[in-house]
Amino acid sequence: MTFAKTIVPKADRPLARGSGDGDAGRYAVAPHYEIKESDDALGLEVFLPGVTRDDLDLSVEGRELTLSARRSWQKPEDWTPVWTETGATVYRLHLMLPEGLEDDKIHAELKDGVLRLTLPKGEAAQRKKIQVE
Amino acid sequence: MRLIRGNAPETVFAHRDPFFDTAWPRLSDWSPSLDRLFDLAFDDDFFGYRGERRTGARPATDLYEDGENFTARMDLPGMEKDAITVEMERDILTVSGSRKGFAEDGSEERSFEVRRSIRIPEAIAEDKVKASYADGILTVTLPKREEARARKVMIEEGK
Repeated sequence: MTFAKTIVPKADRPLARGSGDGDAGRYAVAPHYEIKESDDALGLEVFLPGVTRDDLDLSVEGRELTLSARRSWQKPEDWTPVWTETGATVYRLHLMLPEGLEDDKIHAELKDGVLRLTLPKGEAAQRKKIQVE
Repeated sequence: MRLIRGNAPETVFAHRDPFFDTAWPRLSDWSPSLDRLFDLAFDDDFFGYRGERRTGARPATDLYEDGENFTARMDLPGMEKDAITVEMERDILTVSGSRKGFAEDGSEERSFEVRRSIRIPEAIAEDKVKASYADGILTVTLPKREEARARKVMIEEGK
């Protein structure tokens, strides 16, 4: 089992409604994400199409990572929807991170609707080569 | 980004996409709660469909209309602009692209292909189609043809 697999999604209630003013009546969905592991860090990619930096809240508390984001784009008044598939405008993600990460060195970058997080491993969690004598 | 315009022979590629078929219920006809119910009943990868939609293999698309244009907005997070192709053939808009991603176990990088075709309900001026990409969303502006617009104002009130 790789270290990356120890990241556990914490289930939000699937029907949890968005909280806070703008979100009333909108359903929050967990965004798609992917995890990559290298020798000294975990990489987390979260897919958030339509989300800008101002629309995104991200925090790590202890081992718990919390993300909430929304798509703030509004259609112009005179546009009529012909069909809509992107109904969900609120994203929410809860992850339990493995122990041994250096959470004060987490790096986050949002580009083209993808949030890339680099979570450096602490000494203890890093893969070490063992010299065979 | 490549924009391809042209008149293809009357081929049918409707079968590629279930949403293509007009017999398929339009998503706008589904109430959001029903949609959520489907989410629950057919969890992420039950039919592969949800999972596909989320990873973007068949990206979620909205289509809007105003007096002059149709506008399609498609979720395409994490794409290079050069990796996106927009084609308008007859009444069919096809968007394809690819992005790099990780394999399931996070160990290796692989390429994900994305493709989506939608039928535009009215005649489009193919040579005036425009596309832009921002924040992981592709916006395609499809101007209606002059004659399609004109046809709409032909009916006048009788005296």
